[in-house]
Amino acid sequence: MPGRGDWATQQLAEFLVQVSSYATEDEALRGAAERAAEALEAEVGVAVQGGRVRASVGFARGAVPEADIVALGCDWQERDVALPGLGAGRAAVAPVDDGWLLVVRLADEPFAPHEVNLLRAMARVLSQTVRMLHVLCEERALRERVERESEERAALVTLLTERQRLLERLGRIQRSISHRAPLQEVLDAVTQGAKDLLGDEVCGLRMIDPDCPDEFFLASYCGITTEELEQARRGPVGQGAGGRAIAENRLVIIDDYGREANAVPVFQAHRMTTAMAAPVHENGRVVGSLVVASYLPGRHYSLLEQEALTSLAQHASLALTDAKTVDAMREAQRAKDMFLAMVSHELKTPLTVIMGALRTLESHGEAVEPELAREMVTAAYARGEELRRLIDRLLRGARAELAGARRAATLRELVMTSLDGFGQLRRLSVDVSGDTTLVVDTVAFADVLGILVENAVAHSAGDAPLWVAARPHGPEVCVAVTNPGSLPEGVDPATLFLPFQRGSGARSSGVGLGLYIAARLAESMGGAIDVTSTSDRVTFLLRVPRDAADPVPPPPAPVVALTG
Amino acid sequence: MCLLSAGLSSDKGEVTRGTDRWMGVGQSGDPDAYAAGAAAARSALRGESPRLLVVFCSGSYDLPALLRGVNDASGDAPLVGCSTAGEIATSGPSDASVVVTAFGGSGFDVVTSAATGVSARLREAGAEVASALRPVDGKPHQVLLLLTDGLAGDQQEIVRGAYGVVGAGVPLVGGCAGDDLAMTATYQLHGREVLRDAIVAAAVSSDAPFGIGVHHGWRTVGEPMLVTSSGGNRVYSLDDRPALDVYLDRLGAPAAARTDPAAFTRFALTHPLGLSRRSQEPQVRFVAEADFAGRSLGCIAEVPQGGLTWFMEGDAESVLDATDRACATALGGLDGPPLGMLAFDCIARRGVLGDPGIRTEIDRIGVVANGAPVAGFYTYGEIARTHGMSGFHNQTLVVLAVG
Repeated sequence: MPGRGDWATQQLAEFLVQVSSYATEDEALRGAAERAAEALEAEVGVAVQGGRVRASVGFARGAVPEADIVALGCDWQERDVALPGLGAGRAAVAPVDDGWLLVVRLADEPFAPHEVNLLRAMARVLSQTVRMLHVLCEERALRERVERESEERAALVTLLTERQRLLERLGRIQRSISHRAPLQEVLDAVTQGAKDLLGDEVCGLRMIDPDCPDEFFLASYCGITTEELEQARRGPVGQGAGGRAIAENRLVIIDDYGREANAVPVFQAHRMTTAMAAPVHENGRVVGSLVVASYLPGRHYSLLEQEALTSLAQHASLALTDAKTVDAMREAQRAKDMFLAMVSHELKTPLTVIMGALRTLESHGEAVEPELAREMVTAAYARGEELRRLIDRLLRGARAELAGARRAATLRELVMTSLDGFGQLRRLSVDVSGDTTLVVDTVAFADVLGILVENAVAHSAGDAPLWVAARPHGPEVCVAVTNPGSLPEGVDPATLFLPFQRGSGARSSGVGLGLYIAARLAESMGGAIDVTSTSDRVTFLLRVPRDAADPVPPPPAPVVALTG
Repeated sequence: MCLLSAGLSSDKGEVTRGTDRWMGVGQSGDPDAYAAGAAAARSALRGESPRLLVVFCSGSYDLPALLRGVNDASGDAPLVGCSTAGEIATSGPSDASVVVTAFGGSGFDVVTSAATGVSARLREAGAEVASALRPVDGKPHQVLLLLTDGLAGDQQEIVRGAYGVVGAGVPLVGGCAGDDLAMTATYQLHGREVLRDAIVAAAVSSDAPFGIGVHHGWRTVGEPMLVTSSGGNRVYSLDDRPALDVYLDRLGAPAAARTDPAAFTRFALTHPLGLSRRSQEPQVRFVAEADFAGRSLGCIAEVPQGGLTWFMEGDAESVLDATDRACATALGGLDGPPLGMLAFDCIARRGVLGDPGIRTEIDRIGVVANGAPVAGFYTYGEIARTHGMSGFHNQTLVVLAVG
């Protein structure tokens, strides 16, 4: 066994190894107090620094007599002490930077000089260690600050780079929209942009099917396998992140796709982890959603990524709205061209007769038999009347102020007046029930009923009978005009009331404005026209309030009819 | 050779004599776990109001069944205990048995606690069990009994954690659970729970003093070696050579101990390391296992890097001499004859003494106890903090005399 000097050296070596292994000042102070007490077989070890107890051992937790210990000071080396809670003992102390290291034996066993010297050596080691740790701590703090600043700068650069990429991508999409690129091309650019910018494996643009509003279809996609496409090409509109974005009309993030109750089954089966979707609008109405999704565990969408997807979805909305507008404009232009052609033709036909008659009379007036001349004038006059009615109707369809003055009339009076003259054209069966009185725009009423009968005449055989039935029904009156026949299969009745719609079997020479004008006149009276069709009969039902309030302004015409 | 010894009580004030305190020990070797636990408990319960049952038993028992037997017999009195490497009772040492010690009467107050997941947080767990025991006070004498998993890591850290909570005013005593030298898993018992990687503790306060004696009987041999690399309780190199090579070569270990873990442990039982300490007596470190691939040694507690270490030896005479002195020191802390005695005896001492020797050792303890009941177990490490801060020992006998 070593002698006293060797023992002290040994203890100091162990103390040095132990204390130098600590990473912080607090650990070093606590370890030093503990190891010094262990080495010197003392019950109490205390490290005082800056006028307070930084570490202690030997007291029950919460019972450190700090004031008594600090009051001991360190201007002595070895002495008797009395510690509250522990009693009397012998103590040794050695100075450290701005404090001291104290050990106390509760047994009456003094510290030998070599033990006091060992404690002083330990205190010097502790001072050196604490100084070193202090420097290291400052260096570490400085390094951490530099690293943190460096990371912040790197993060800022990354953020700016990402924003730049986003802006560049959005710019390309905007140019596609402004250059009127085909809609599908623009939508594909949006989905590919989302995939490139966010880096997710799957991206899709789903749209509500206008013909089946409960279902969606994938309008554009990337990163989807053939198998997934087969199962996810269509689906219930509320499914997955995209469905929630549509339902909630906001950005939606699903962090745990595996536990999502209403996930798209094929993606859930393939262990998709996360998904994010933003709503897509058309003229402010939600019509679909732009979705990105990942299979990576722990995928988290940053604010910048959320912003990027929202921006891309807004560009998809812009493209859809713009495309719809362009389609409408193209359709209007097509309709206008067609209208002009038809009007030209319709106007030209009677004009030809009139001009021919006038030219004949001008060139050969004296040679023409008076009887023939009268027939020619009568025909020209009739054609002129036809021309006038045609022009009146065209002008009426174009005017916004359809409604005229209201006045009281009985239903029978109104119906019979409106049908005046049609009895010579067709076998007309008229049935008016109830002698109720209406307060309506009688001119408009007569026009509507006349158009409906004209329509029935035009869409039925020349010898076919027609039926007109009128009766009060609650606060309204209903007038049904029925002709034999049926609507062509697949025809949406609503389209019959669009302008320039001519039935394939129409026998009239109209331009397809009749039902359009009738519908608008009915609306101006606060009423409406419904169409029903069976296998052998078509019925147009006019419903008008018995006492309409002020005339309802007609809705704006969906297309430009006659201007330009 | 006396390493640590002191007569102990936290307060040397008056002892209330004649208060209601009793202690009993029961033992059973019944192979049926429930029956063994119930029989040992019934034998130990010799009075009213049992306050604490301390159970030492072989880990080969169905321990939940054994605890059911004990608790059914005691009416679920507070219980701590552990598995052992052999049990000690008044009647002598035994294996594959259960020994139950009962503390009873109004002269004792007891609170128990347990901490689990100890190996990852030794110091914190030591503080945790001690914190749970803080309410115990009001009687003049206290002791904190700790039973730990000796395979969990540096046991001195557990002692430091407990000491940091209770301070110098409360002595610590106890031992590390064993597993009959299998060195694979030990068990700690708390109430009806069987725990692993745990500490169980009982704070016992009494109207009468406690005495603790600590002696080992080992001596250094040969020249010291410098611990050139260590971490916690693992020694990597001695004198800059792989620690295992130095250990085997310097001690001339048999061939089997160089390759077979079990043979190594048997060899190491009687060849501990010693650490230099102020009291001129080395502190002993039990070498529990070897890493044959990494060529390092695993001890039960810390071997500080930078320190000197020695090989140590002992014989039956020195070990039994230490037994006598530990008992005498423990009794010296009392004001009269003991109510009973608990012995925490290192399994390595059993290796030195052999079966006849351990019988002799227990007989000697019984003589000192003078008819009072004796209980204990063979441990993988001993806890006794009586003065100073170091409270963990190896190859040592710790005796707790209950006054």
